[in-house]
Amino acid sequence: MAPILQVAKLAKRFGGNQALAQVSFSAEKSEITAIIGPNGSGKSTLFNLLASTLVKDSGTILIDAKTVTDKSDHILAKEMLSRTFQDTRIFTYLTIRQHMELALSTKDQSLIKSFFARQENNDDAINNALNWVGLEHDLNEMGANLSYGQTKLLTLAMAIAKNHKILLLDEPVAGVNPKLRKKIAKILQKLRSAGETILLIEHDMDFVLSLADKIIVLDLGKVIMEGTPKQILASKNVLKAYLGR
Amino acid sequence: MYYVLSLLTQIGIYAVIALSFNLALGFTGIINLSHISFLALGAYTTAILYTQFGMSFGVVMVLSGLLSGCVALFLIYACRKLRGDYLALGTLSFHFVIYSFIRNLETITGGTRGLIVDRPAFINDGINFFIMVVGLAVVFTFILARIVRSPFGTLLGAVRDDEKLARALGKDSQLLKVKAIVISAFITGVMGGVLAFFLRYVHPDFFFLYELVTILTIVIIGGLASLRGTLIATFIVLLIPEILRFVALPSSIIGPSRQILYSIILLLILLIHSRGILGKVDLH
Ligand SMILES: Nc1ncnc2c1ncn2[C@@H]1O[C@H](COP(=O)(O)OP(=O)(O)O)[C@@H](O)[C@H]1O
Ligand SMILES: [Mg+2]
Repeated sequence: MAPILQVAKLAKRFGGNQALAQVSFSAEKSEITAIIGPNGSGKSTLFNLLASTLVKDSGTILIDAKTVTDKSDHILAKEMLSRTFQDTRIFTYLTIRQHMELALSTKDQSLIKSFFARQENNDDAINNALNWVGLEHDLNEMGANLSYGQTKLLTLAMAIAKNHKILLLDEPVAGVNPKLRKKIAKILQKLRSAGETILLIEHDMDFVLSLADKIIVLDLGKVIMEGTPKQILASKNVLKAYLGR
Repeated sequence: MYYVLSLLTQIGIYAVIALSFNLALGFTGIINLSHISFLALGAYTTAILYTQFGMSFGVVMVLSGLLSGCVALFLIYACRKLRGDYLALGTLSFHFVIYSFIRNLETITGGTRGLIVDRPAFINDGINFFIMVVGLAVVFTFILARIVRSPFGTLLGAVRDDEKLARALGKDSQLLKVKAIVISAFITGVMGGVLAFFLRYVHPDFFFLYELVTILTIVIIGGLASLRGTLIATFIVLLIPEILRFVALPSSIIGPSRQILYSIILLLILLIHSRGILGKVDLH
């Protein structure tokens, strides 16, 4: 079976800064593919190109062997990609329930339909999605009142709940305490067992080594290595990229 | 009696204008400083179509709303790349464009001479007019309340709080903003028509930037994203200047006193309690 995601010769330049150059790799269905690399190596830019939030300079992106780069970001998000952001994003004045409703609603919410629709109770679906990440909290709590860890979990729950083929997670454990880190690692393993395809950005090597099926190492916008955690561990190039600066 | 009735009618009209402004600013996060120009477009459409072309009242009202809505559509398209302060500047300059058009397009708008507006017979009487305004205010308030509490309203809140995240959830934030601003402008356009009938006269100076200060004061005092707050604040803001009538002030101060007062109140609220009376959202 062809990989679910195939990226070929992807490039992006910001002014004089070549953020990504000729990046090619693939990711298999129901696996965790980790993208690691030092700060500024182009990991988040790669996600932004995959999600069509940024426009690529050149290259191709295939999902399920179909090219997706002509779709705009929200359509791509609606049809196949769920993502979390490195700078954890949250709706400040919406409740947890509203966050989850936004993630779960598949209907295009037209004004007229919404105007005449009866209030639905989808607490079951919401609690089910929140159970995935073990976020137990009053559903009426506003985004602004959540702790950093809780926002990390909520955004993860939203990404999981939303219709998708691939999960793009940008540094889901950055800045969280060791306990929550373990918890999130478990969540990711559970998701993989359930058949989820995950692309995971992380710059902590240890976290990734224990989790990923495949690791792609970026440095200065280029893929310097691609392989299993074992192969990566054995490679001098990678260690140099990490420790050499 | 006439004075009280006229004041209450004015409060009804302003309440709806402020509610629709809050739909854009408080509920959707769109800083639309050309709100008053939508009011002006509605007022002039009504003045021209009703008095000069003799079209029927209902048709004129709907067309006033539609014209404002269409112009808003154009505005939001023209400003689609702008956010925050830049959007504020873009919409502010649009306000002046409309204002200059009205002021200078003498053959159509009467320029600085203004236009006389006839009232339909059934609202010629102050009481009847008041009843119509209350009716419209109830209907529009109900519609807006329904919108902001529906899933569509949640979508608007998402766009306001974090547009990027909303898009990552598959929501077409641009389309949502278009819908919000068009609804806001439509309602404001209709109220512009009502205002024209109320004043029996339209003049460019009724639609100068001052009026925006009044609306902004109402919405900020009442609180962003609170319809109830806006309703309460309309009473407060429009009643305060009436108190000044009973205070002996030199005539040079009486003139601009309303705007001075509003500006002071606005500043005080922003400094002391930036969420206003019932605000759910902070300015940011
Ligand atoms: N929107 C942008 N505009 C300009 N430069 C950017 C933008 N996004 C990222 N960059 C630059 O591209 C490079 C890669 O950034 P990024 O993808 O965020 O790296 P990483 O996520 O690996 O830390 C950096 O040099 C960064 O400054
Ligand atoms: Mg990054």
